[in-house]
This record gives sequence, C-alpha cells and structure tokens, in this order.
Amino acid sequence: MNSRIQTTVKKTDALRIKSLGKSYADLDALEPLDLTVAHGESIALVGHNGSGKSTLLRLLAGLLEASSGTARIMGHPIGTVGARAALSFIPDDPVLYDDLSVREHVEYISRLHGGPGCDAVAEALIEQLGLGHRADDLPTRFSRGLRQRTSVLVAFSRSFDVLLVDEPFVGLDAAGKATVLELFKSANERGAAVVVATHEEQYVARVSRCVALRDGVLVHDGPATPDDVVRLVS
Amino acid sequence: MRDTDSTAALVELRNARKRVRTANIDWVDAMYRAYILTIVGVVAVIVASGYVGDSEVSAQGLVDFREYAPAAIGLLGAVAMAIGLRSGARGGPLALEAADVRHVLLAPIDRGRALRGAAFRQIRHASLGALAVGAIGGQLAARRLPGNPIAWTLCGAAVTLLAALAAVGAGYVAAGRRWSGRLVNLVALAIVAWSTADLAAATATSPLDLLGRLALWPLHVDLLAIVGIVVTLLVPLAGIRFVEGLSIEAAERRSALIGRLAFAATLQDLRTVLVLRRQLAQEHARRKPWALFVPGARRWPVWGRGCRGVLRWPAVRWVRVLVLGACAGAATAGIAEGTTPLVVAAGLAMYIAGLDSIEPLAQEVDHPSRTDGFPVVRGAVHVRHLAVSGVVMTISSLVGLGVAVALRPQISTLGVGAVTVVTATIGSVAGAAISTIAGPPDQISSWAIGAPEIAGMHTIVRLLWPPALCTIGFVPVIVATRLAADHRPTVNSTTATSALLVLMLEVGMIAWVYAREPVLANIRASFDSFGKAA
Repeated sequence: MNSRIQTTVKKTDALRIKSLGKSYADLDALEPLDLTVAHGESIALVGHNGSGKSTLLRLLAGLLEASSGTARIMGHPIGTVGARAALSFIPDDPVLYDDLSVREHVEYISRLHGGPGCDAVAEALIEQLGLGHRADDLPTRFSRGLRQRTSVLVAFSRSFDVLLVDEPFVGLDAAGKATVLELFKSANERGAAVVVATHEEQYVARVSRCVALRDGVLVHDGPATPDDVVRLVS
Repeated sequence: MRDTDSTAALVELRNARKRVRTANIDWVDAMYRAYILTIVGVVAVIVASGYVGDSEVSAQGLVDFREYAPAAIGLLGAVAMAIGLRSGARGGPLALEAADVRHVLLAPIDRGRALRGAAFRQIRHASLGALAVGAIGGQLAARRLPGNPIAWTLCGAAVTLLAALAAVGAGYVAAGRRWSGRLVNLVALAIVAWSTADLAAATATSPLDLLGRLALWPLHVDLLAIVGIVVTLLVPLAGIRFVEGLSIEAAERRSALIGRLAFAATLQDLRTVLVLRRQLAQEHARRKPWALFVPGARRWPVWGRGCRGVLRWPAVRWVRVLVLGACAGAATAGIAEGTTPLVVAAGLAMYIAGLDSIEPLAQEVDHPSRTDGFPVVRGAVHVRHLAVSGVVMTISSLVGLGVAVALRPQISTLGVGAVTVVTATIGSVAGAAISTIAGPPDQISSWAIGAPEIAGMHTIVRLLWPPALCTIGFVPVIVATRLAADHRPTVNSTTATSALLVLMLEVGMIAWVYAREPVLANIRASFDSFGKAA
C-alpha cells in the first residue's frame, strides 16, 4: 500500500482559493471564485463540458496563469517550489516520456521530488495498479487504460498533501476504477486533500462535498447525491 | 527534501536518457545523412558562387560596399532579433518536451537549472547553423572582395554567430520577463527601424550595425565593432539569466504544438505545418469580421463563404500577405536591375502569401466529407474557392507593384509590372492550390514504395513544382529585362507572348484543380484493369 502521502501537522488549509479566475481575450473560462479545502477532505468537482473544471484544476496545478485572484497550496502561492512539492496532479491526458519505462518513470519522478526512487513501496504500488508485468515496458506501447494507470502511478510515486485529478476513470476497466478509488481513499485517510473532476457515481457517492461549475461559475458547494449531480450537470 | 538531490536526479536521468538515445542511433544512417547534407551544401555553395561571380568588384562597388554593408548586415541581424523577440512573446524559442513541462517544471526544483540545460542545447544548435551560414557568406564575399579569404570566413562566421545568439537570447528575455505582444512588437519595430534608418543614411550606429562592421574587418579593422560585439553578447547572457521566468502555460502549449509540427514536417505535410504554425503564433480568426456585408454571397455561396473566412483574418495575416507582396515587388525591381536570381525570392514570397490566401479552399480539402454532400462536382467547388484567393493575391501583387515602382520609378516598370501583376497573381493562386489539393505525400503509394531514386525524384517534384509555378509568374520581368539590355522596348510582342504562355500554363494548372480527382480515378481504374488482364 502506498505510504508516500505526507502526514505532517497542518495548521493552514490544504487549498485556499480567493477570486481565482481565468479569461481568454473576451471569453471567461472561469469566473472569479472562492474555495477552501481542508486536509483530508475529499471533493467531487462536477460540471458539463466546458464548465471550467479542467481550467480550475490546471490553474491550481500551475499549468495555467490566472487572470485574477490567488490560490495557495499548503500556504504556498501556486507555482512556487513549496506548492509544487505539496501538490500532485493527474491530468485527463496522460503525459509520459516516450523513452522511459514505467519503472524508470517512477524512479525519475520520485527522485525529482526528493524521494527514494523505485523502492519497495513503489514496487507495491506498481503491482497494486496491475502494471507489474509491464513495468519495464514503454508506455507508448500501452492502451489508453494502461497509460492512465501509469499516470496515476506516477502521481502516487511521490509525496503530496493535495491531489488534483482530472477525469481519472476514462479508459479504466472495473478493476482499474476500484484500485484508483482505493488509492484516493487511502490518500484521504493519510490526511491529503483530494479534488477529483468526475461524474463517476461510485466516487460522487463517497464524498461529503461536491463543487459544481456551470459556464465557469461556481453554482454549488456542499453535499450532493448522484441524482443531484445529474441535475447539476444537465 | 534538498533541492540539490532533485537537481542531481534531473542531471543523472537526463544523462542516462542521452546515453540511451546515443546507443540507439543508427550510425550508418546518420553518416549517410551527413554525406547527403555535405553534398547538398557543397552544391549550394557552388551554385551561389556562380551567381556571385568571381570578378573583383569595381572601385565604386567597393566604396558602396564599405558604406552600406555594415547597416545591411545589421538590418538582417535586427530582423533575426525581431523574430526571436516575437517568438519569446509566445513562450519561445525554447521548445520543451511535453513530459518535461508536466513532470520537471512542476517538480519542486529550481526552474532556472531545469531550463538552462535546454537553453544551452538550443543555443549550441543555433550557433552551429549560424557558423556554417556565416562561413559560407564569408567565402562568397572573399571571391569578389579584396582581403584574406580566411579572414572573410572567420569574420562572417563570427557575425552570424553573434547575431544568432542575440536573436535567441532576445527571445529568452522576452519569454522570461513575460513581455506582452505589444511591447515585443514595439521593441522589435524600434530595432528594425534603427537599422533601416542607418541603411538609408549609409551609416552604422545601432549595436547590430556596429556588429556589421566586424564583417568588414578583412577590409578595415574598425574598433567600434567591439561595441557591437559586447552589446550583442549581453543579450544571450541576459536571456540565460531570465529564462527561468518562462510561462509554464506558454511552454506547455508550445511543447504540444512543436511535437506535432516536427512530425508534420517529417511527413512533408505542408498544410498541417501551416495550421500548427498559426496555432503556435496564436493567430486565431477574429470573432467579429472586418466587414459584415459580402456582395454576391447569396448568389455565389462558395464565394460568400470564402469572403467571410478572409474577413475574419487577424490583422497579422493581412500584414504578412501584404508584406510578402511588397517583398516580391522589391525583388522584381532587383530583377529589372539585372539580379535575375531574385526571381526565386519573388516566387517564394508569392507562394507563401498564396498559401495564406488559399485558406478557404484548404479548409474544404481538410474535410473532404463535407464536399461529398454537395450536389456539385468537388473540383468545381475547389475552383470556385480560387476567386477569393485571387482577389487577396491581386491586392498583395498591387502592393508589390507599388514598391517596385517606388524603387524604380520608370514608366517601363509600370508597364511590365502591370503585366506581371496578372501572371504573378494567377501563378501564386495556382501554385498554392495544387500544393493544397495534393495534400501530404501518401507514405504507402506506389511512388513512395518504389525504387528510392524514383521516390526521391517524385518527392522533389511534388515539393518544388508549386513554388516553381509561382516563380514562373515572373518570367515577363526577366524577358523585359533582357529586352532592355538589348535596348529594345520592354513592353512589346515578345513580353506579351511570354505572359500569354505563362498564363496558359497557369490556367492549365487551375484546370487540373478542377479535373484532378476524375483524372486520377481514371488512371487508377486503368491500372487496375491492366493488372487484372495481366
């Protein structure tokens, strides 16, 4: 089982967003919004296509530059070294090196984050994600599902306090979904805040808080049942 | 966690990847490529030398050269720097691997250290290319100018090296300091305007023009060149210092596009290269068109669709098409003055402008399933799209005519220019159209999998014929120049006949746009029936 998640004593919120917005010329992709996420909290981020879910996650990951507002990850402004150390992001499109095997990915990413590399814990994680028999293979030869599993593996092979995930279940089979859900749960239990953009019923049913966006505007922040989610995204 | 550990991991892993890449190189293939490149380079130098000639320049020519060359060289450097700056405004010129942006730049390590390695690699590649170009330029200069050939070669190489460093460094500064497009345009314009003013006044005061004085050291050692060297060296140093400020958003967008661009270029897919280059330059269609009313749109829907597309062009595309027309006009004036090789420059300028103007047709070719649903022959739709392209290229050509007349204010320029506007316009439209409808080369066609010599020739013809057709549009100027050299009227029956022949060829190519599909289908059917019979 993974034990990379940092479990330090936390005094600040895991994630604090103030008036964070993003616009492209005359198009507002995300209206300024406020949001606070506590340690160990699990959130489902929902919304129809183009509602701004990916934009919000990519802003927090430091891949996009905000047009307005600020956000802090574990008290560090987004994009800074502290925030990058605390945050792990699983994008909707797995971005992997063409010339590194699964195991080499883990070795590289873990060490970039000051970790031990591909040690026994990482090997266990590889097995848990069902990648043991392909660990020395190149992800370029993988199916979409296996690439997605590798992307999840890479994100969990380093320490983090906040996990941001964009549509993690795309391309995964039932076993893969179950494993990923298990990993999110263990991350929560160890104190990490987990924000997942998904409409997956199994995940939505488990979380206590749902954040919904519509046309870049925050329209709901609180508990929601799967039926509520259907209503919010329709 | 210590930053040094992460950086050590980064260096270690990068070295490991480099070792794997080196181990995977097919050395026989690499040597074959180097061999081909050397042959092409030598042939290019010999051809260029032929155009430059071997005789020493006259005394007056030497005086003119001393007077104008530093500013002219400086202007070329200024244009390179402007290009570097504009690339910097969009996160360039650094092109990072997509996975590096996601995993390395988002890791808690010093971005300066992570980016400088890539920056040094890029500078190394740019330097090698610049050294080669400068050395060749120096060699060519040595054939006509007094002075030691080795000195010319070394000075030429040094100048282009420094200019390239300044161009790349300026890009890093603009990217790292997050300069806006407006600021970059202002700075680029100021740099180019300074060098242009120097050239017009036959002086050399801008730092790049002072660098240009270094190129003339084989004639006369001018210590002011040292100022140019120092200033241009400061730019890449500043670039390396500031590159860590690169926008991750821009780097990610760029990394995704550069990978696809390189792949499209490998497949010689010109259309995809153009589309991706526009995306890289963030050249998007306007949400609001320049004008709402399109005359004849109801009666001629293809014309109306084309006009609407063109009316949504961003300003930068209009400027590019007009500037290319102006360049073609300037080159035409040069042809009339006796520098015939400039016809290639004129043809290429019109070809590039033509590829922009052909956008409505290209959009149709990109999605052939749409035209399948039209109750009209596809070729007819394609040809109707050329009308809008023709209007755009006529405007571009007229700008060129204006420039040619301004540079060579003679009545004969106007006469020959008017004829050439017609042939060059239709030539550029036809050239761009046949290039676009041909699409990327079919990698599994009988041509591609045939004998390498035949496949190679086919590829060359495919690539060169469209720009050659654009170049042929300038034949009337060459004919008129020859007539002028024989002291005969430049606009006479010979010029008219040449223009008519060129027009016939161009119209034939437009007919090919119309008939290409059924003709190719018939040829394929004939081959199939021949194969079955055999």
